[in-house]
Amino acid sequence: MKSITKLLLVGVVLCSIVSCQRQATESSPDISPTSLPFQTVSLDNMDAFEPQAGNWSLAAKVWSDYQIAQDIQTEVGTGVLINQNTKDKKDDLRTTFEHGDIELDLEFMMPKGSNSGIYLQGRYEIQLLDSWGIASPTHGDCGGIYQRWDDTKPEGQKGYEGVPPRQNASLAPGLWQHLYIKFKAPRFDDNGKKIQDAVVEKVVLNNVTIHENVTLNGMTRGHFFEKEAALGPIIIQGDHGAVAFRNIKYKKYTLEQVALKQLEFKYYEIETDVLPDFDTLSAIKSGAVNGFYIDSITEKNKHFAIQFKGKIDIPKDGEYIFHTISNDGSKLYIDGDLVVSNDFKHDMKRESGLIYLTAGEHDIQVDYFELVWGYGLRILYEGPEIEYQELASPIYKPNPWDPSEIIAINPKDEPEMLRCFINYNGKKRTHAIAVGHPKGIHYSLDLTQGTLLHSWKGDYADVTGMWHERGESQLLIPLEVAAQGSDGFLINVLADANAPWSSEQPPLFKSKGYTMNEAEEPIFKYILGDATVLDHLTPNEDGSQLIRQISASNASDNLYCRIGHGDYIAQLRDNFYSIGGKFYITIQEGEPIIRQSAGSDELLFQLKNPVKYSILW
Amino acid sequence: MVVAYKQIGSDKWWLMGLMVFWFINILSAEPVSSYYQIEKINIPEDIVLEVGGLAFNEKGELGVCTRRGEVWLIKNPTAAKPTYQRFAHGLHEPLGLNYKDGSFYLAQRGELTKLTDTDGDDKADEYETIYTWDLAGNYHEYSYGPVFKNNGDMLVTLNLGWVGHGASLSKWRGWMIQISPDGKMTPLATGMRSPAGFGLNKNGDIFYTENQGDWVGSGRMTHIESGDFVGHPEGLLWSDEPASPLALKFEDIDDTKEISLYDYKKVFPAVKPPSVWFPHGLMGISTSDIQVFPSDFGPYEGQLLVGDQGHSKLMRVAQEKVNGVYQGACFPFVEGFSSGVLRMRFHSDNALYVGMTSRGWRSTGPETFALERLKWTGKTPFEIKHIKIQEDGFLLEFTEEVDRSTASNIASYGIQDFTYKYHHFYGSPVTDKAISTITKVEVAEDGRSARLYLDNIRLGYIYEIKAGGVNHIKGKKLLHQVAYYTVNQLPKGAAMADHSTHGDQKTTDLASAKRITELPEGWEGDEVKTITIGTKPGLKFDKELITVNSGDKIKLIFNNPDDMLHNLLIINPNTGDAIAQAALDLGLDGQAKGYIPDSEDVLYHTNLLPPESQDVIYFEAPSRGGDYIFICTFPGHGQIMRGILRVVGNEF
Repeated sequence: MKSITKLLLVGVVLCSIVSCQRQATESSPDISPTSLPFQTVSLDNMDAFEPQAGNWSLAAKVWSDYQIAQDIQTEVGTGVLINQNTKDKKDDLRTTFEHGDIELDLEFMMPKGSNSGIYLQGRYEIQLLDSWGIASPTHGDCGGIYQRWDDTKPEGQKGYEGVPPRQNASLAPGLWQHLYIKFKAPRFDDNGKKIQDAVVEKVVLNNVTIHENVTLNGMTRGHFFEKEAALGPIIIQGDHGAVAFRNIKYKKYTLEQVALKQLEFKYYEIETDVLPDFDTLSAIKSGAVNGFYIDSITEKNKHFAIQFKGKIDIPKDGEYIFHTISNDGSKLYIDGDLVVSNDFKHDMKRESGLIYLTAGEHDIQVDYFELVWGYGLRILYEGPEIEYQELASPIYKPNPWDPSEIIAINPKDEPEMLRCFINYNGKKRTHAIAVGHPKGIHYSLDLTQGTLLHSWKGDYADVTGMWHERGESQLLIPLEVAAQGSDGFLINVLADANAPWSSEQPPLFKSKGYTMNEAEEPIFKYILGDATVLDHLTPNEDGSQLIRQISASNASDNLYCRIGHGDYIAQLRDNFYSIGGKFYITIQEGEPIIRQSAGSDELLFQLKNPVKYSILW
Repeated sequence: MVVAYKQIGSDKWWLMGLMVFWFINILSAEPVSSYYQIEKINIPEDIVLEVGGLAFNEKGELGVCTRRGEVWLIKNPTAAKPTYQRFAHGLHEPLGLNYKDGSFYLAQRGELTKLTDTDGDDKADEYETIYTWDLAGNYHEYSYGPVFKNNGDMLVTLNLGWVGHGASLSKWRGWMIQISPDGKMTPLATGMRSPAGFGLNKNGDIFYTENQGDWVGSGRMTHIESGDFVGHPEGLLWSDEPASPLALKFEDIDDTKEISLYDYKKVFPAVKPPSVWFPHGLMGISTSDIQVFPSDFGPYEGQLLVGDQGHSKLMRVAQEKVNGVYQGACFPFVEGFSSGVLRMRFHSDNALYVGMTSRGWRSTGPETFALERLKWTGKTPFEIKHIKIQEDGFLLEFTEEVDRSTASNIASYGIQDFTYKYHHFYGSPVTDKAISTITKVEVAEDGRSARLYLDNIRLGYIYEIKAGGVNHIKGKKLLHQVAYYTVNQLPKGAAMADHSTHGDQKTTDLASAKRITELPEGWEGDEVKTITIGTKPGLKFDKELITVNSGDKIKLIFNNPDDMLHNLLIINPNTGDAIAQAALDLGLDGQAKGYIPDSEDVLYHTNLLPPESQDVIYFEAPSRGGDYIFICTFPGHGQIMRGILRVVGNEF
């Protein structure tokens, strides 16, 4: 095994948030949300957009063959926004809403050779392009912050200040890709003079962070307005090729904030592991304080409790979410109502609560105690068009034991296979394996289900979360963009070919581990009743695709494997399918059964005969 | 020496005194290494051998599984430069290894796995899952084992998760479970917190060791039988599962009475108090693996060896069964391993192989990992070999013949007893301590044992038994002079003793003229120099040298972000070793006294600080210049955890 270290690319995690509910002692069905919902751009009709020439339209489903330039195939309906520009019809698409600071979240599909872009405020472009397979992306590749342009400069110097993505996080053309953008608009003084540049605070493409805190000195090339301004629409480029979007949602923010005032504290020295009844205690000291700053109240770091009381000015009516992150317990009340309950002894832990507030002044009260082992209190909130932020509470320093470098590994002469925890759809899978191949193509499986979770190419794995100090996350993180496989049990016994595929573990199913073949690759083994199923993944010759072979011994006619499911299974050519636009497969052995079940399309095989297919993303 | 004594006339009293002093020095300084020697085993530079488990195969090759998930086969472990072959890799932090009938077995975080090399190339070809258990995804959900029972079933223990306290976040966490070779699981017992060490004694009975923590007053060893509840209530969250062998519920446990675990058994019979307590700090801080002494490893055949991760050492346990219940004593054995001792295995060369790791869990041994071998030199140390309870006292058996005059002298012994509280707090103070009165001592005719008669024995208490005055028949001192015997039962016929209640000992703020925590009177307006000293992992202060001027007024902020207890003493130049020893000699009183010896050489000191806490003291720098020492005197730390406070000024 070769170990290499890289500079830490990810931002420092300020505090670890562990939230573990114990079902046996507290069962609350209402888990309060931790974030206010995004606003969805309805794709039932085109009302969210300014009128355009007609190159933009809606469809129910869209798919595309990665080998065919500008290919876009549709099913009639709504829900997906598509651009099919022609010589005459090639308008860009403007939203009817304007935004300043914004978080934007969407999925896009880029056919082969196509090109588009998202202009924040109609002025700053995040490039969309078919950049599949590009080793060293530039500002003009997918996810790049496009360059600025000055015609007055000499040839060769006209373009400047573009920012390439940190790495190429593009999937193959014709697959759905996820994009998240957090943008801070420029600020202007009363005379309209710019006093602060716009900032691309974060861009995440397919779960890979490709930009952080990039300051934009000015508008990028092709901007739709003459000058920078506080507000502007989102404009999607429509003149450079076919593109599709879905699940577009956003949160836009004004500059309004909740103001904290007249905050007073009472300080108690008490050894307790639950919030005390403050009314029965006598305070050691009390006074005014300008925020929830423990350090300004006491030098002690254990055995104390503080009660804060003050006022908040709410700028406008609406739903607000308050959070406390504390070690140990805390509670937050507004106008006497308990909003956040975060009592008892614990590490730095977040709890949240939702409350509707009218504009104007309200009472706020925060109770807090510290028994022993680390202390801290943060109060945060989010409101209607008000960004998630601290309410006058300290930013805690990173833990001195946090790593300064990541521990990255790459397979050298033979495959690596690391049992690990791995995140899939935002949830930790605890019985996973990540297999890295020297050909530079890797995958992860959930061994309790046989699920192919991720597949990726390039560098293999960041194991800092497993091997640094105690390894508190135990997470293995793929070092490159990963395509996501379909969830659920790989094999099942069905009464007939129409019986639904259960999400429950099939009776008599057992995951039995793996056997190494001569190439030191694992062949996974599952038992279902009398049948034994073997599952083997290996790179194709040039390392561009994974080949998967599934075979069974003692298989009954009722033994099936399901290798994909999604919104659609689209057959694009003989033996070639798009699985919901998540990945492509080419079937080499086996007769696929494509069916609709429980609202999604599924691709099954009977396991009487062996199955072989390749996976591309 | 006796001859020399006679030849020196009484007018040479000073010379005689010198000789005696030298003589005692020689005897008491006889090192443990005369009997047991630690040897390093070479680890190639590119291997990170953070040992999780050790097991020998039938060829005598040593299998080592590591926290990074590899299994190494050390082909010739006795050689000076053994060769390493990677047998398996990619496993999820396996913390136990075993070998049976051609296969290695190990517990990964989420499953019990069997590894088999089917083609003889010393690489595992089969990674077979025997049994999979649930995980919530918390890092603290460690899994240990397996240990084979005599019938071939395997024992595995499942550590609790940690969320600021121990928590059973997934099924059977906090349990010992039993798994048959074909993958059938039976839960055996619960109440475990951090059950890293377990094994069978020579009779095939199961014991496990526990670490101090929430609900666990101090390190301990407990005999496990099906249906036992051994103390931490979190595992009881699963006791309503059909497979649970006990009915006790999480909600049943009430610690507000602050009684001992022994007394809690009277409330719920499923409670199993430990057979041996390891007083925190004095007998390690984090007990680990258990092994049985073979016949050729000193005079202790059949006794148990227990490792300690945080203190990088081994302890010895001699138990007996009284009225069908195990109890016994723990003794110091060998210190000074290079990293945190997690696993030990005996080899056919009669050496004990010791596997170590300290990543994330610091140890007094400074390396992050190590593999060492402990060898017996063949010499018999003079030790208390065994302590056996009598109806009215204890019988101390010695490894060699004693000097009858010192052994029969009551003043050669000191006994006190105490217990720990059973509560949800982290650890317990030494509680209800009392000094026992020894009424009589009888030395056996063969000079191999001494019977100590006490006026009273309290059930459920831990007896600290010191025998520092007992000499060998040839004059030398005991190699280790203290043992801790846990009394669960008295031999039938003995009168049951009442518990007399004494005050608790607690680590509270130390009221001391050497610890001024408020700005001293008269300092207002003066220049006060603030010095901040922290601790670093690996038993270090974050400063090695601090320079001040004599008479400087100083505010010292001492932070302890480490995960161990530390204090800070400012002591006179060249007194480090003496003060460290004096702190150790405080014994059971140490914790209550913050390990601050009563000595003129201790000038100033802080409290004994738990992890992640702070103390602030004020003092004036000494008027005499010199290199004063700041030192942590918590047991095991004083030898290395030091820095220099250089006082610039006249040295007089």
